[in-house]
Amino acid sequence: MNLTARNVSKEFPRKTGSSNCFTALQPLDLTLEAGKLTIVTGRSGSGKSTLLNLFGGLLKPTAGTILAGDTDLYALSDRELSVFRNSHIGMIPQGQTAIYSLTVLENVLLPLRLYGKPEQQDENRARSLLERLDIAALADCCPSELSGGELRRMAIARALLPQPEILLADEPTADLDEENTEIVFRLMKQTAGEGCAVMLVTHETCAKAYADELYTMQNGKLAGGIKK
Amino acid sequence: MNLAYRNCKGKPVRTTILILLTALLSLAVCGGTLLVSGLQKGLGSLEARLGADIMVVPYEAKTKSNLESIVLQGNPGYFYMDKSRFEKIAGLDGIGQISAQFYLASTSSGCCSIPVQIIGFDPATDFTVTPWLKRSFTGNLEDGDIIVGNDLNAFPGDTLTFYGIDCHVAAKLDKTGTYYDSAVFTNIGTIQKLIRSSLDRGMNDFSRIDPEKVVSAVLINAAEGYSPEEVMNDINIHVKKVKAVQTKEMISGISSSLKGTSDVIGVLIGAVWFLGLIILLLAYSISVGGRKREFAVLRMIGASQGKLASVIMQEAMLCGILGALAGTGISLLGMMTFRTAIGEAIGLPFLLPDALQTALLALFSLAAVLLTGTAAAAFSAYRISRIDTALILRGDNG
Repeated sequence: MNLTARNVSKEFPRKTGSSNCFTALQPLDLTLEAGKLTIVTGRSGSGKSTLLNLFGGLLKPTAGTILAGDTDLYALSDRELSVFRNSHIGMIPQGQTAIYSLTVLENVLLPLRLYGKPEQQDENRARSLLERLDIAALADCCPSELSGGELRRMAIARALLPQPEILLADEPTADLDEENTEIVFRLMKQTAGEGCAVMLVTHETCAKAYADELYTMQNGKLAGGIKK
Repeated sequence: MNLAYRNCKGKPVRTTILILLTALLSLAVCGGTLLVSGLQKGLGSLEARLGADIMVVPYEAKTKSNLESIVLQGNPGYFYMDKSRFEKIAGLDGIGQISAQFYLASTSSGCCSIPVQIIGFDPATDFTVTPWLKRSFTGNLEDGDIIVGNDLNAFPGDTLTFYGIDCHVAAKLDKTGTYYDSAVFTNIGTIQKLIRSSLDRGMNDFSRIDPEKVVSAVLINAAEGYSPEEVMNDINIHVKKVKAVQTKEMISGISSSLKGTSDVIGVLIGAVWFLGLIILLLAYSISVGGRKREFAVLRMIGASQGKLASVIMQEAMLCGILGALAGTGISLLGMMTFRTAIGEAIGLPFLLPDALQTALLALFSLAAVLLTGTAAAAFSAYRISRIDTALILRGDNG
C-alpha cells in the first residue's frame, strides 16, 4: 500500500511573534511507496515529525489530502481512522512509549488486543521479534526495569508485530548503540523488502546506506527525493 | 488481560487512594442516609407506641416535666392520681377508647435485678401497648409475668426480681427505637403487687397511696365526631388536679429536634458528597493527566477516542465498585453494631429500617456513589480522549 501526500501543508497557531501562525510544513507532494525505505533527515524543528504524524493520521493537515491506497485518511471518522491505523500503520514515535502496567511482551502484543485477541502464533512472532532485537530475555519484565535503549527496541517490536503495510519511525535508534542501530536499520530495510512502505526520520548518517529514497527537510520544505 | 484492571493493579497506591476516597464518600452517604432514616423511623415508632390522642396525668407530673422525661426519654419515674379521676374522665362526652397505665421505677439496689421503668396496663381495655406486644407475645399475660424491652439483658424463661418479688420473663419485645426498648411491661395485678412491695420497703416516694386505688396515666382516643383538642379541653375544664395533653404536642419537641438533626445531617451528606465529587474529580484528573503519554501511545496504536475513554471509565468503575462496596459495608456494619449507642448519643428515638428498606437504602447509596465516581472520571475521560496525540508524542527533534 502506498501512502501519498497531495499538496499537504500544516500550520500551527502562534500567540507571539509577527504572524499569528507558524508554518511547520510547506505544501508538499510525497509518496511512500510499498516495498521502499524512505529516509527523511533534517535539523531539529525542520518539520520531520510533523510530516510523520500527518502520515500517521495523528495530525490533521491544514490543507491537502493524505491517501493510504485509495483511502483518504482524514475523511474517515475517528473510529474508522483508529481501526485503520491499528490494522495498517505501525508507528515508532520519539521517546519512551511503554504502558507501564503491562509486561514487555504484553506491550508488544497490545495492538492486536485492542480490537481482537492475539493467538499463539502472534505471541510466537512477538517473541521472535524480541529475539531479533536482543531483548527476548526481558519479555516478562516490567518496562520500568528496562533501559532507554531496550524500551526503544520494545516499541519497534510493537510497531512491527501487526505486520503493517505502512511503517513510520521517528528516530527509532535515538537511544541505541552502534550495533543495535545497525540491527534496527537492517530490520527496517527487511520490513520494506517484505512490501511495507517504510518512512524513517533520523539524524543517523549511516542510515543513508539503507535508503531507497532520501529526503531532507529544511524549514518545513522537503528537498531531495534521491533514489538510490 | 483487561487494560483497565492491569492499570489499577499496576499502580496500587493510586488505586488504593481512589478506592479509599470512594469508600469514604460511600460511608458518609450510606451512613448519613441510614441515620436520617433511622431517626424518622424512630419518631414514627414513638408516635405508634404512644398510640393515643390524649394522655391524662396528675397535674404535678406535667408541671414537674416528669411526663416527657418518663414517656419520651425513658428515664425511670412514676406518679399517681386517684382512680376516681379515671372514672370521671370515662364518663365525659367524646371519649372513644380509654385505658389506664401504671408506672413504677425499679432501683439498682439489692431488691431489684435491674433499674428500669415498669409499665402496668390493663389487657382488657388497653389499646396502646397490646397491639405491638402481640407481635412478640400472643399468650395471656398471667400474674407474675413480665415482658421485657429489646435492650434489656433478659430472655424468655429468665426470672427478674423487683422489690423482692420474682417475675417470670414471658417474652422479649422487638426493637422499637424508643424508651420502650428499656422498659418492662406487666398487667395490673402484678404492678399493684410491685407497688405495694415498694411501699412496704419504704422505697416509694408516694408513701400514702393504696395501689389498688390509683392509676398513673389515662390514655384516650377521641370518639368519632369529636376532635382530640375538644376532648382534651373538656377534661382540663371538668376534672380537677389532672393535666390532659395531646400526644401530638408531646412529641412535637422531638419532632422539631429530629427535623433539625435530619436537616443538619442532610446538609452534611450534601457537603460531603460535593466535596467527594470535587476530590474525585481532582484525583482522576491528576491520575489521568500523569499518564497522558500512555494514552497518547494507545491512540497511536489505534485506540479510538471512545476506547480511550472506556479504559478510564472501566478503571473508575473498578475503583468505584470496590470503594462503594467497602464504604457501604462498613457503614451498614457500624450502624447495626452501634445503633443503640447512636440513639443514646443523639438523644432521639432511633430505629433502623427493616432489612428490605436498609438494603434499598444501601443500593441507593451504592448507585449514588458509583454515579459520582464515574461522573468525576467522565470529565477526565472526555479530556484525555481529545488529547493532541501528535503534540504529546513529538520530542524536540521534529
